[in-house]
Amino acid sequence: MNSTFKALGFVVFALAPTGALFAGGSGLASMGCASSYDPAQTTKVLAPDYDLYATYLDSFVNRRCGTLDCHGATGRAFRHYGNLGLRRLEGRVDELGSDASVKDGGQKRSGVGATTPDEVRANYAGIIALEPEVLSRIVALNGSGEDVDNKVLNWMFLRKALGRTAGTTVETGGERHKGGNVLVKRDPGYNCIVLWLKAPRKPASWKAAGASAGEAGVSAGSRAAPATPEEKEYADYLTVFDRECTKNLEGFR
Amino acid sequence: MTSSKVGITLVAIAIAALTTGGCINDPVQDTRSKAFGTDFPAGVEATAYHRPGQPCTACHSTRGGVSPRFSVAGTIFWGSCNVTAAEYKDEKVRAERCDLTPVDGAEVRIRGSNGGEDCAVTNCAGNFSFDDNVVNFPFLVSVSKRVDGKLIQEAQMGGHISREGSCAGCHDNPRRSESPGQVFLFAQDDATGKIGIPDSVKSLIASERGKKCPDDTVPARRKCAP
Repeated sequence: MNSTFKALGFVVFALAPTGALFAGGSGLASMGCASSYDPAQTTKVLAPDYDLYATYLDSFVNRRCGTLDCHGATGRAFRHYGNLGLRRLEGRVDELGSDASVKDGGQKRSGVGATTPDEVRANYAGIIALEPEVLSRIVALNGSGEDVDNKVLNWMFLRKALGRTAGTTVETGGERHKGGNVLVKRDPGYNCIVLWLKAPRKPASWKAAGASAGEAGVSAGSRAAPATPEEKEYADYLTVFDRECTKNLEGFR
Repeated sequence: MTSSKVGITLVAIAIAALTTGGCINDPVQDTRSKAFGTDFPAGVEATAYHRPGQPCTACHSTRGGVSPRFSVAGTIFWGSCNVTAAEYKDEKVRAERCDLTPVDGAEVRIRGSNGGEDCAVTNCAGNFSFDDNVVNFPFLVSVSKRVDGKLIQEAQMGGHISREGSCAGCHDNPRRSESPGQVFLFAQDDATGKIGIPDSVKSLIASERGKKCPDDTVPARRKCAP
């Protein structure tokens, strides 16, 4: 496994026992034996770049999806944190919500202060955990020459965002979504998310050279002349990404 | 029992259920409504001035079953209530650091995703309501207050409202991780805890504090300034 793959990889532990269950069932039926459950088994999932998400997309997604009456509500399986909505509490899960966890006033409060890095990280983890196997297949296409645009709507995150309200007949390209359609195709935000999914793999040397987008809020412009074809490709991509996403989403940051 | 007797019994049960005092046969909804208690504030009957700061559409909606039914409704207060949960339990701290005085005559403007716009004016209790669906969710909202025709404050909500019809569905006290606190015109300084209300406005608020609302059950809706 190369370092890029490691950087982009996301481990889904839940898939392992599920797969083992099905495999075990069919195995028992046919041969009467099966391999035992391996708790150390993991499934690697390719995910789009975190730095780009943190720098360009998190505020946008928070505004569109993370309001307190939608995915900024504690009861949602897919939650989104941010300074304008739900704040991510710190501490033990069994103590959260109790008076003890908030008595010193140290917990973050909605509307106060900026969105913190741990909230952004949690948002990213929540997004890439939505149908990770589908997301993985989309990200894996990058560089293969296949048209990613035709595949992105396989991913629940975009299908739901484009979704429609129950009872309506307007064709949005998405699937039923309680919150209706919060994105439309060709929307600058939609384009930016698709562009994010189409990122070429970050060269292994890229981060080491200190040119990671997100760390300084900039992208290709801060890097010295790319040394390899992969670095050149990535630098060109970041230039386009920065132009499209900065210009179109600046109102969300 | 014959089938006709069974049928008559079922019809009788259905009629009894439908005519039992406002019950909508939804235990979740009933529990939620009861949690708000009765008669708030004390002595204020079920008029347009009752239950300021509570989630109006919990009852005044199709699901809540109480008329009139609102699409959007809430209460506007002068200042915020940025205290911890423990501090909020202390009445003295609450009185000092939370401004629970409602704004009379504030203009609440909403602009929906369908391009529709509407505006409502708060009443004596700070309550406002929209009773039709001119504006589609999601929508943006701003609140402003004029005194003698002069704009003294305008506040716009940072995000948009996606689907909750009641302000208090999200905005309840104290301010915490899952709520920004009551809807307010003037924000509180996070460092000092003081609410940034200009001195010129403080006397106006003092005159409105504790004001008794009139007895009219259905106050005429006032129009927003153009």
